[in-house]
Amino acid sequence: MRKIACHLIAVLIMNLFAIAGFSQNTPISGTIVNSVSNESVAAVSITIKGSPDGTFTDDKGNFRITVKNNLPVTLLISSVGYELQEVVVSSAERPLSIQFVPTNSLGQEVVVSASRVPQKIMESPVSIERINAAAIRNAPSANFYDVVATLKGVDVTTSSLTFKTPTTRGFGGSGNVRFNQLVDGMDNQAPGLNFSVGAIIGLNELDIDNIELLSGASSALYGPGGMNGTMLMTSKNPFKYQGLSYIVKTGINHTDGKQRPASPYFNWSLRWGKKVSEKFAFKVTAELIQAKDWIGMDYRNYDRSNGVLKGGTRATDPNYDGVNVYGDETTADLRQVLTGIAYQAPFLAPFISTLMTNPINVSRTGYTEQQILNPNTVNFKLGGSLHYKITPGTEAILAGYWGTGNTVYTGASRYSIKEFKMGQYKLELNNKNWLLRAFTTQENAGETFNLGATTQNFNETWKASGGSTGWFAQYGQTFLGARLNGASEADAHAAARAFADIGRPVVGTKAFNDIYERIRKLPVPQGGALLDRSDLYSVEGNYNFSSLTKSFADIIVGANYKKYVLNSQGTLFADTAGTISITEYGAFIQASKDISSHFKLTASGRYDKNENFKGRFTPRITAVVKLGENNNIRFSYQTAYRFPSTQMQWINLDLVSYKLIGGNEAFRQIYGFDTNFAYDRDSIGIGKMVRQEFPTLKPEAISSFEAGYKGLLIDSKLLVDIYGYYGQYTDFLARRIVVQSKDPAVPLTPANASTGQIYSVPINSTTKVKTYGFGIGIDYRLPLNFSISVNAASDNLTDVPTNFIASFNSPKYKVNATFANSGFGKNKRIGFSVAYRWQDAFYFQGDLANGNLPAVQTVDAQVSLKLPKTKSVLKLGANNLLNQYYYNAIGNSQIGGLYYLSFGYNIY
Amino acid sequence: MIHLINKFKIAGLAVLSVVVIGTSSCNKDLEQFPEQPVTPSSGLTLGETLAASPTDSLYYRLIVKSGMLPVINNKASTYTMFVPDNNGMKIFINAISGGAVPLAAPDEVFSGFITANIPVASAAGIVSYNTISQKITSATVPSSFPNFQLPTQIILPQAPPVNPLIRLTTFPSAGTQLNYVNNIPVTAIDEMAANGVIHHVFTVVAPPTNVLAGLIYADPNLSYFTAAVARGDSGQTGLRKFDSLFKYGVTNMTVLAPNNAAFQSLIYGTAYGFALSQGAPPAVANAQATGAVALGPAIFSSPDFFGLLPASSVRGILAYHILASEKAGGNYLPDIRVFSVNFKMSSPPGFVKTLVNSSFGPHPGIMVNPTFTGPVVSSLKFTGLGTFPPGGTPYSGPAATAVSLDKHAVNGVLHIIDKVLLPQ
Repeated sequence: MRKIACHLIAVLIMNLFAIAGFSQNTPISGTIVNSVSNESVAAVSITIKGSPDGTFTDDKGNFRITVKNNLPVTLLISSVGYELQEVVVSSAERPLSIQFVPTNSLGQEVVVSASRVPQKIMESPVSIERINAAAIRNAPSANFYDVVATLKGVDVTTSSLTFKTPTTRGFGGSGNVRFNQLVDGMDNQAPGLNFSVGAIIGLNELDIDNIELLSGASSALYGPGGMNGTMLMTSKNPFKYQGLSYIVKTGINHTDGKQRPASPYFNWSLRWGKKVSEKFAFKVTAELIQAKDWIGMDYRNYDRSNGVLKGGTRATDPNYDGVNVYGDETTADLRQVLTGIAYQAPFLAPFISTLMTNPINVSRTGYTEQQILNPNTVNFKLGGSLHYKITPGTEAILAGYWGTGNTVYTGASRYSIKEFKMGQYKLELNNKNWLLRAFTTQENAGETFNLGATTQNFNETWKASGGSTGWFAQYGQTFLGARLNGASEADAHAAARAFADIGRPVVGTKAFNDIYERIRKLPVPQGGALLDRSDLYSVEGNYNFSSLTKSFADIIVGANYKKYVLNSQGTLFADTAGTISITEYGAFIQASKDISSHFKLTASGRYDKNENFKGRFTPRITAVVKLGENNNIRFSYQTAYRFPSTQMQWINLDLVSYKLIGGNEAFRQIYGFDTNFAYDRDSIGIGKMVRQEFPTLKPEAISSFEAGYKGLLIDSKLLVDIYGYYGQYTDFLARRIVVQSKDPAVPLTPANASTGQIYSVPINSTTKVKTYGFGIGIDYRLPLNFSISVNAASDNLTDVPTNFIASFNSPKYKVNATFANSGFGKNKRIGFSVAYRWQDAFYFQGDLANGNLPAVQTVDAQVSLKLPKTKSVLKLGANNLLNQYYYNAIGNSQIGGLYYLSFGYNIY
Repeated sequence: MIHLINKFKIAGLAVLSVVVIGTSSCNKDLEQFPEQPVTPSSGLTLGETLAASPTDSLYYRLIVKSGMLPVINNKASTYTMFVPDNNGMKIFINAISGGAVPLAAPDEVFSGFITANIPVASAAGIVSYNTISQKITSATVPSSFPNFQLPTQIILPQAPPVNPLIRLTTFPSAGTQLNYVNNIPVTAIDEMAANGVIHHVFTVVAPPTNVLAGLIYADPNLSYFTAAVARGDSGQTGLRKFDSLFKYGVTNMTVLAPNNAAFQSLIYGTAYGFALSQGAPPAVANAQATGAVALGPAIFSSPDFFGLLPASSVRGILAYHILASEKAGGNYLPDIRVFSVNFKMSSPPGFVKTLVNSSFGPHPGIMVNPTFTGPVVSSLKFTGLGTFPPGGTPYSGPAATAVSLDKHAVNGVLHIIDKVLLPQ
């Protein structure tokens, strides 16, 4: 390891100072225009054949390159969507005017993430999808994250208008810790809250160069996490993409007034890239989104003790606990109150005894999400980078992405992410052969608050639940009085609630706002605020030794170091005594070799160590068999693993009805599980007391076999991509519900279990959990630039032990279909796209609620008009065109139609 | 070529149309869960049931008079009613009319009496007292000793603010089935109505109107007992005073009150024995004892006799005349109301605990020996542990016979007995 590091440093120093001398400089300049539309083409790569030197056209299609050799030279002109062109330049006296021929050919894109080296997507050894800037430009989606949802095998969980979480191969949810999201190489998972924030803090649409999505296990290259996939978002380099560009998008949602009156939607994004010189460039990006958010409107009754939905409403079930109703999580068995009354008034005891046969569970009256959540969602992103070419091949980048805003997230409750701030800052040195990157993620939960805890504490502040004059006492006395008057149970409950709720603050009044605003700012458990200020520090690097080892194999090595600093002041983690530090480090090596012209083998392995867990080695072996030009079969054996997330290790969240705790051994002492045993709740339900052991938590691992085919057929008009996979999880991480006696002196029994303290604890499955699935995608290029794409995928999880909450959360089948044209009509100025998605019904499991989700189908569409004279595009689009409301997670916002008109300037 | 282009345009539009039409079928709403269906009550209400029964016409008339008919006809509410049939009503009316309405009179006469002579408040009181909330079927009433105390529809008069939970209670009791309400036999059980159940009783179960203190202090035959209460309460406060308990509306007591003759016997014997123990000859002792008796109830307040009748002894004797039940922790409280019919015949006779047990838990209590003739108690005897003179075999003394049974008060029941029971 030490030798490798020394070698790496030596080579780095050599590169830094190996500035080539310039013998003779001949400037060549010119303009590149689209041969069909005659528009100038920006960001076109111009390189000198046989030389590493190159440049890009600016936003007006102009370029200038200095040739060190004598003329003539050959320029290689390339850009995605255009035919590769070679231009022989014999004279530099006059500027060149080059007609660049657009092409509609498939499968020509280059990907990097599949093997950490550039390669044609057709030859990728693992399943990979790529979205380029042009695809985003022509997509009907108002938010580029929705474009990801059209990829094969991708599920996106929409928590709210701006909070979207993609995943592949299952485990969808707002906070998905099995799917990595990297922005310019930085893991953008909030270190404390454990959700990826790419949708709200990261790149804006104008700055996306490409998105690559690796389905399936990818730890061998990208480290812990990435059990199910990794999405890599790469921003535009200002050396290549220059000039000012912006999009003004204005729309409308809530058009039918179902959730709230029709509301405007604003999305303004801006990017300015400037190449100051051949050595220095910079860019600045900004985006502002403002809208009225979607609302969680699932008012169904949730049995929180058993984790199932059930019938009943506030009017019919005194213990009603609506999914998107908050404050009603506070519940008590009225028999406690009645017993007290019987003690105080013995003459009522016999009558009360007739009411005590079964529990009389009653919940506090809650407030709906619509009532308590500020509807304004605001998201502001600011980004920028400074790029300096130390040598022509070595670039230093200082970049930062910062964002703030309000949105809504679904975890164990719904969270109003309010004035959340997160910044990611990196310093990177990259070269063709090596890379060094250090970055930090600075998280600040701002005024984020938990709707459930806040509203429960709001109720307590207005009128305490307990005590002789508390809400439940008033309820119980009125209930009993009504029963004594002959009232039915339902009428007695109604009368009791009406009495106990007298004076309950009405939403929107000063009385309500005064209390609510105060409580939401108090940290849990007194209020609802999360004081999370957790940070992540990371250093990583890799070196490609291929130039030295080419005769044997292409070899890449890399290493990384991460340090999490959890800081929630006891509001999320068990860190009341101070911050919690977690360090991880790891290293990888990859070797690939073309065994023959038809067979390429790649092997890689990675070792990682977390201070709280034993080290893990994850190998990967891939093979690509070339059947013919642009026809490849791929095989892979991949492994991946993840350390339990920071929350799975250290969360300590009292959700009143139960406690969500981590798996660190410290919790055994904190809650005394070694002496006051906890028991499996489901077993108690069938009358058995099965003690829950707390073995040391282990990282979860998966071994996955995959085979796939990718090929171009029918004169390269049809791209077919098929894969199938089978994987097996070891030490599968899930949660289990256990119950502990609240009084250590009173042992828990089935009879008194209902009075026990409920915990949700992380557990490793001792059995192997299996997963399998397939995907198939076809892209067909029709004449006149029309295209049609259809993909379908299936993901499955089996052998999950009973009592485990796996949260697989993936529809068994999903289908996407897109019909589009990026340019047709006169001068190819008109474009359109229609995207249809259908996903099967499935059973959703989440910390907030579980339940069946019905099948969902949506149509997104857009039509656009290019205005070449002003280098601008008008776009009229719709997400969920037919305004067919849907949920894609229980408890999440219900999503309707969003209709927008955008004006984009200089969006290459 | 143009033809081909057109074909593609058409194809494109067709695909678009299919997609749009295909998706025009709505996304299904979230799964809904049926609620437990609430079956509306069917059939006749309590009032309608009684109205339809010719043998219940007099009580129905009383209900109408009381103004309670809308209440018991409310299908949203549930009640249990104790209803005397016409024969039972006739017994009641015959009694309250002082015989003016003979039992053999036609029904119309009784009905007319109800209309003309029973005030609305009284009618409402009777009906409310005999109406308890919820459906209490015969099977619901436990057979545990002594009975099952249930609140009626009468809220006890209170100083504001009125607590609607404080109510007059009634006492159904059961053997193998519902047998009595207070001391009134039940003649038919479990006649179901849409909004409740009707149990027929032998005659009207009259609501009590006075507290124990009122009954005891107003009875000239209990003047010694009254004086003994004052003596026993000396130095006590609050609910530690018998007087307070007798006056407190929500206690639930059974008092075996020895009549004056019983106390006179006790005083005579005590004074006579005391004199003998002081060396007085029998004649002198007799004279002294006779003199003590001659003082009447005032003997309890005469300082000259405080040595003979110390307050603690009087309090102990009174405590032995108040029945009690055991609570958690071995504590005993005077919270049972035992009507004569609630005592069980057994051989050998059974025992009931008393308030003495609250200070001396192991005390065996009072031996009780009821004799039933038909459904009513024809003889009720109590035997105390102690004997007079002291030192006899436990429970060997002469039994106290109840000379007046089931004097019902708001806060208890009173049985007047002819001997003072001695706890030791």
